[in-house]
Amino acid sequence: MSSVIEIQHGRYFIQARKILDDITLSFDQGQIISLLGPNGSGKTTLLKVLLGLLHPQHGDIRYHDVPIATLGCRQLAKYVAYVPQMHREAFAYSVEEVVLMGRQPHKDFFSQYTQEDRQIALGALDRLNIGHLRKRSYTEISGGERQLTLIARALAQGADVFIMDEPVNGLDYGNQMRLLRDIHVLARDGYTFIMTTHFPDHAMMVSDRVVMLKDGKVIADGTPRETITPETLFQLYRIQVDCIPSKGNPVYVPVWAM
Amino acid sequence: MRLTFLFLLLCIIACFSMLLGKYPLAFSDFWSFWSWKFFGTEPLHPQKQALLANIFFEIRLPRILAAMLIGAALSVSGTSYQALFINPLVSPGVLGVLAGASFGAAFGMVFSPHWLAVQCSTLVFAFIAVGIAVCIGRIYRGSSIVLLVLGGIISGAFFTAMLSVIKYTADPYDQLPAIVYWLMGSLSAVDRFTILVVAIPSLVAIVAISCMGRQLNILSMGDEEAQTMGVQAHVIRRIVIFCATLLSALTVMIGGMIGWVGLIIPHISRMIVGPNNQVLLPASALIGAIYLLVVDDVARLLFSYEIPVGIATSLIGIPFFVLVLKNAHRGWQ
Repeated sequence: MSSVIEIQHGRYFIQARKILDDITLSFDQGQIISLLGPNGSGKTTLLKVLLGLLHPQHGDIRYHDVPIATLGCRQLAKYVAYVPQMHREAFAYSVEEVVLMGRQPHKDFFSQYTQEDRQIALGALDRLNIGHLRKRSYTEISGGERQLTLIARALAQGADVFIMDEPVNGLDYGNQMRLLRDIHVLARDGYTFIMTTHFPDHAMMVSDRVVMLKDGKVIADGTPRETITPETLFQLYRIQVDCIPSKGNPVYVPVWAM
Repeated sequence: MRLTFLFLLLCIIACFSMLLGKYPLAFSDFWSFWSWKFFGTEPLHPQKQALLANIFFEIRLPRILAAMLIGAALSVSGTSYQALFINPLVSPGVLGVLAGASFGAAFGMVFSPHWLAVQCSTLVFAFIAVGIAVCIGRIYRGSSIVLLVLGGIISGAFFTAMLSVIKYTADPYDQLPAIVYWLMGSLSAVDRFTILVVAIPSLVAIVAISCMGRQLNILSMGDEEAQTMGVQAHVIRRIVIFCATLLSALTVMIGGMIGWVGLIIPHISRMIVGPNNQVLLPASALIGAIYLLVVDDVARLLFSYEIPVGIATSLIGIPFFVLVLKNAHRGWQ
């Protein structure tokens, strides 16, 4: 497996405050990588750095061995797509129109969407089994459907790395699980997912790899079973948890709740 | 398809408007004049011919063009700003351009007898006002859109205050009424020369904004999201703000302050063609042109004396807006 993204000695600080402190990571194709860490640990900053939205003061980021600094934002958009938390839109665009936006990096300034762009957009919707929603307005569909629409947009963008900031945030339990399953299926097709999450269970369930961040530093990096332990969870969140062995993955329950 | 229909409707209303006026015109005269003009059919009596040419080319046509241009310009800048600021309650004046332009016009009227100087002063101060808003928006780090809007409020308030200063110092018998009347917004002073000068930059800016529907759709998702889709938010924003400022300034140069068009028409257009800016922007330009043309016809014909069209747009616009709001949530939330 080849590495699709790497970040070498990434440092990002605002004035004297270190947000990211010497981060070196490299991610392989087709993996789901979960970033775990408390609020303010630098997870979102790391995502923004990888997306080219923030420029680290030190360090080097490469996509397929191409330095990010040499890529314009249109070029970069063909490598990496951002799937934001499901949001409400001010204007009621149709689902199809939202997904078509993903074709933007493939368009010149004045050119219009072609039939081919529409085919790609519809293909992306069908892939996530939401083709029937295409004429619906984005503001009227459910939260889970909105999140799937945003993933379809990322698919239409043609990128192979998807960066997601707390993708299950605001979704109900059923939609959370269905979303994680869809992500899992797409990863088996070769898409790489880098996502932040606040749920160690979710990281355990779908990730191939977990990176734990605290105060801008990587404190653990490896498979979920290696990294997610009562010790590391205490280190991150200051919460005592007990491990309950089960047939599948171990389950962690806070001590006070037992 | 819908755009073609709107364009045809605009053409029909424009032709019809040429028949309307204080001087009664028969349709047969209208027909023979234009068929002579275009197809070289038999001309009318030379005296009548000259009279009709004067009515059409000096009086009615400039005015019709002015109404259409102003309507289209205000609507398209309003629509683009609503996408840019991700807020359906924004109007073209949000960055202080109208306050700046009004101050510029009043300043010009007080200090120079030349009409051209007044026009230049209007244009220059419109851009200064927006420039101040943009600079204030840049001073602090943070949410750039909120700061930009606040910058616009500050800049607008400043130029409104400066306008009061000019009014206070103006000659109350001569200059002050001219300023006040100008700010009411009227198309009665439109002349052929001004329209010809203003038409080209207006049309260029209207077309330029209309072509950026795809980018504006994406920009209305927020700056960071737009950048990850390959749209450089600040570049698009600069182009749109420049074009919209130019358009608003030009409308003040032609007809003074004409309010409400830039807020209402985007809403109506969104109800008719939906929120997709690729269709919405050209549609709102056409609908705005139709709207102001009709309102101007009403303003000049309804009463025995003409009412300034700026007053008419407000009087018609406000109740209309209340009605529109009832259905508006379909377009945004």
